[in-house]
Amino acid sequence: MDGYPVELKGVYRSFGKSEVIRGFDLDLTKNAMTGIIGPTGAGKTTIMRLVNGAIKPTKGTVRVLGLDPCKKTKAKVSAIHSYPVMDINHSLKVKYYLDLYGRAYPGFDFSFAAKLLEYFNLDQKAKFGNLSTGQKALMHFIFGLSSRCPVTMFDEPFNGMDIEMRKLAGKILLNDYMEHPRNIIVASHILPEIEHLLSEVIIINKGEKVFYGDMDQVRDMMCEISGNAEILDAFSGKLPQESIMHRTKSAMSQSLVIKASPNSDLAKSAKALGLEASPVTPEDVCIYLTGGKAGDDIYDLWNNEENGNA
Amino acid sequence: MKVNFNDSTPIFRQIADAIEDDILSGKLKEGDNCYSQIDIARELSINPATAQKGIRLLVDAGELEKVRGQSMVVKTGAVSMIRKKKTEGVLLEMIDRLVTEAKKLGIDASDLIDKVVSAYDEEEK
Repeated sequence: MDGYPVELKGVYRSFGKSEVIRGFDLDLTKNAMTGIIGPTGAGKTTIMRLVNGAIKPTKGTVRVLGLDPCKKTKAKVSAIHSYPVMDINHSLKVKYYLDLYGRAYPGFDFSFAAKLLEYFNLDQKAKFGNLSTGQKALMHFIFGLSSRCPVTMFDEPFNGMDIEMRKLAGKILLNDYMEHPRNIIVASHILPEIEHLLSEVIIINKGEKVFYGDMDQVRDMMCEISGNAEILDAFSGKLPQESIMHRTKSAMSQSLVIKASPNSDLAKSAKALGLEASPVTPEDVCIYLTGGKAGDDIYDLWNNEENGNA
Repeated sequence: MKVNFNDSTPIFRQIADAIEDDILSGKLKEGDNCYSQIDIARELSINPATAQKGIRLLVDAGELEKVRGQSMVVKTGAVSMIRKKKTEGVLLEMIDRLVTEAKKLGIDASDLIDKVVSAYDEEEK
């Protein structure tokens, strides 16, 4: 198969008047473990539903293994969208769903799924509705993983799982990926949890692709400059507006987040002025790229000037 | 092998450093097979591509080489290459930082040297 396992070209998707995906282009790297990170409502789930053919684009094209997943069965069964909050019948048993998944996906590994269910003490004879929230999430995760689909998409898979389950599920995900290389996409709004499993990441905001590349590029993208207020002001005055991602001013300190690596010449020039340049975590990079609040302004919530309580 | 996920040093670089430490200490000898990317990925629960990046740093530095049909092997001369590189690199950076800190505290050069010498003696005890 030439080309990319998943290709999105100029994809738009609206729901009524709401344009949920806008001008989205993507050539997915073969056999990568790719994260999709973005605020809630950014469009992560919609992208996954476009890829597995559950919905079609309003404009543009989606191709999985070179085929249209809305029209070709081969493409549809090559991409699975697995999510813990799937609305399914509560009175049916786990083994019913095991059978259902097994028949829907040609590469489904029954014995692996059965082993995983046993490993997590999930009784195949249990009714789905009687499982705990975490167990429900586990079941979906196990079936998604066992499908061995060439494009396997997990949509916030760990929601509801307890700490031990999450850790184990993460390790199992990584190992199965190494044993059976394929494209795995994981959507999350908690990047630290999956960060080290990923080789690359898509950052999405308000339906648009904001970034697609290596995790290491994200780690190196920004730095925080802090120190003496006057020197900082002079330094920031010389910078182009677009490179300033955020400013903080509190009782204790002042700082500036800029779009430059902590090892860049710009950061070095800040250090030469006596300022400090420290790295910004990938999680915070995502928050700044998606225009999020960093929470410095929360203190106004407790200002009751009308009551004279200021 | 241990890495610190909260350190600002990228994981792939920490992996390269850890392998070099093992070569220096003799845990990995010249001619031995180096750890594979899968082994490292499993050990640290990280993506194998990250492990591979760390290994590739050492291949590019001439400390590891690919032997046909096998994983990477520690090259002959790797020990002295690493020793030289770290002495001229990391050690000098540490000395710079030590001197900067000492100057901040008003400690002069000969005082600092005395402290360094006692640290060596402490180690030996």
